[in-house]
Amino acid sequence: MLNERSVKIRDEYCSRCIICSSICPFEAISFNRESGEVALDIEKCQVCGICFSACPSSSIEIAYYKVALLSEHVEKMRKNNLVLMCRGAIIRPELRESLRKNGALDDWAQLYVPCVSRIPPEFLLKVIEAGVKRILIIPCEDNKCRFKVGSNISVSRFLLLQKLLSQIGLNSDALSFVRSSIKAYINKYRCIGCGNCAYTCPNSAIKIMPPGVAQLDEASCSGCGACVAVCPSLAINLEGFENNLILETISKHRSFISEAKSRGYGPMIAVFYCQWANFPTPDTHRSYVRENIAFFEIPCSSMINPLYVLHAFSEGFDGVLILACKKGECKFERGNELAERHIIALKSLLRQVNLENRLEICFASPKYLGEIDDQIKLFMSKIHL
Amino acid sequence: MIIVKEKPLNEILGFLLPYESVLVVGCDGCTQPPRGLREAMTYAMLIEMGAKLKGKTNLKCRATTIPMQCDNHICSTTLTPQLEGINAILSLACGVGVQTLVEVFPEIPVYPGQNTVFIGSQEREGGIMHEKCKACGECLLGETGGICPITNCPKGILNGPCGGCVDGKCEVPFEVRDETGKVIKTIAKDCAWYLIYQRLKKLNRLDLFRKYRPPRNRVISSSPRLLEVV
Repeated sequence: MLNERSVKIRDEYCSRCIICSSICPFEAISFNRESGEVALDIEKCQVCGICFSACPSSSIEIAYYKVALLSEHVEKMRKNNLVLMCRGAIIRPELRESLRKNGALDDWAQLYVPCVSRIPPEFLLKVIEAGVKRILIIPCEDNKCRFKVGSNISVSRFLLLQKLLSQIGLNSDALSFVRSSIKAYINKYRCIGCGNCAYTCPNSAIKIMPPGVAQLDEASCSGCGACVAVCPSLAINLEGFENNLILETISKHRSFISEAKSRGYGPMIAVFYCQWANFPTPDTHRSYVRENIAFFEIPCSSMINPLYVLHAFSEGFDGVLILACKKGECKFERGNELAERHIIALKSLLRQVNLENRLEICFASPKYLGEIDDQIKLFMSKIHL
Repeated sequence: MIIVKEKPLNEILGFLLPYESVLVVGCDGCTQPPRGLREAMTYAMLIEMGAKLKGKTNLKCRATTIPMQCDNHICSTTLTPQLEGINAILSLACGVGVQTLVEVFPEIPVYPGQNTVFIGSQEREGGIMHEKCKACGECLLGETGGICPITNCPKGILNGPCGGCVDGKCEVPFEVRDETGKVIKTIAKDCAWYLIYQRLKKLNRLDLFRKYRPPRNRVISSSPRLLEVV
């Protein structure tokens, strides 16, 4: 049985302008000239939401990050600044510093959405009306958009909105944007020059240079983290997803585990999800918990490595589930295949201590509601404590 | 590269269960697959987990790595400060690393974490390791177009090919084995001397192929060996 779709086109509202069909980066929306039908092929759809924000008649409905929900969330926080960022983007230290100088750092609401291009301009107007003084938008770099065109579309859209706002007397400060994408960085003192990263990188952004140290070409790095997973010496880290940070986040769940266990919840599960395979609510950032499940975000399932999994086990989790994108839907071409290979290798190690069934990789996508929960339930039923 | 294969965890646990505080030492040197800090940490956690499951809860592992375990000076300078309270060492280096650690720290038991298999290289795609050098001590590669008959010919003959070369393939079935020595599959491998002939022909050096090579001086490659640098 298939779950309910998360993206729908409401035919009764549709004005047949076919903007959605022409803008969709995955050619998932088709228009039949004879019957006048606008149809969505959900198998091609990757739930970026570009069509949703482009539709002039609000006939596209997406179950995630609804405008009403987002604006309610922002209003509730009662802050003067709003930082709206894509999941593939990062607040670099220098940007953080300039935010601090503006006094924005202690007074900001942060929204973290899969692609900023899903945010329609009316949301920003609504937020300004609600009292937000400054909005900073952080889309990904030009060619690093996980949905091909999302970043460019949102930038041109926001430039237009900036001009409109200036006509009513709001200065450019009210709406500004900075482009930045997550990048890997290499600690050359730790690098042993094995070349695993250079071989694995899907963008050939890493080269081993004399005297045998990996060197990263930042412009080509797309920030997937595949290199992090194959580095045997912990020399590579990803901005915002540093190895230490992830391990610390896992360790912070110790009290959550003991509390949930005392309440009698079933096996404790750690779910490492690809940030493009699971769309949690906007107030969650990088990790969140639900009943007996702790969710940890990673930029791509290919970043998963034995260290995180074993650390989760040693901190008391009973099972570890890796949530990867479905075949053919990886935003980095074959990150999910790499992840599957890593998991098979790790499972063969775990088999030797009879913990093989405690680790699983599953493939899901946000386009069917509840698919992820079904996978988690299936995994939990397999764990016998 | 020195090709290594991790030992079964149960064998490692068999070594380490009597101890309480173990240092897992990686090697950043030439082991393939590389066994750096993360591999050492992975093993440390796996051993702790495995010990717990076997009912021994007080086995604690620490992980570290050094640039080269085969260098006794590096071993003693980098590891000595980390040995406080350590009962045993698990080495993730080749057999050379294990023995160097034993020499440098004679009072601490050192155990191998992996089997040293051969000198060779790894195919990136598919991850297959190939043996490339037998360390015979008398390199022939200059006369054989860069293809080693000592490693690649089952007989290791110096004036080939022998009569077992049929259509360029070796008569001895090449057996691919798993870590326990069980044959997974057999494949027909190219005859090393056939390859050498083709290569030398391409290089226009068939004179090298026709050259007679007398039997090897096996004294050079009989263990134990020692080399004095003057």
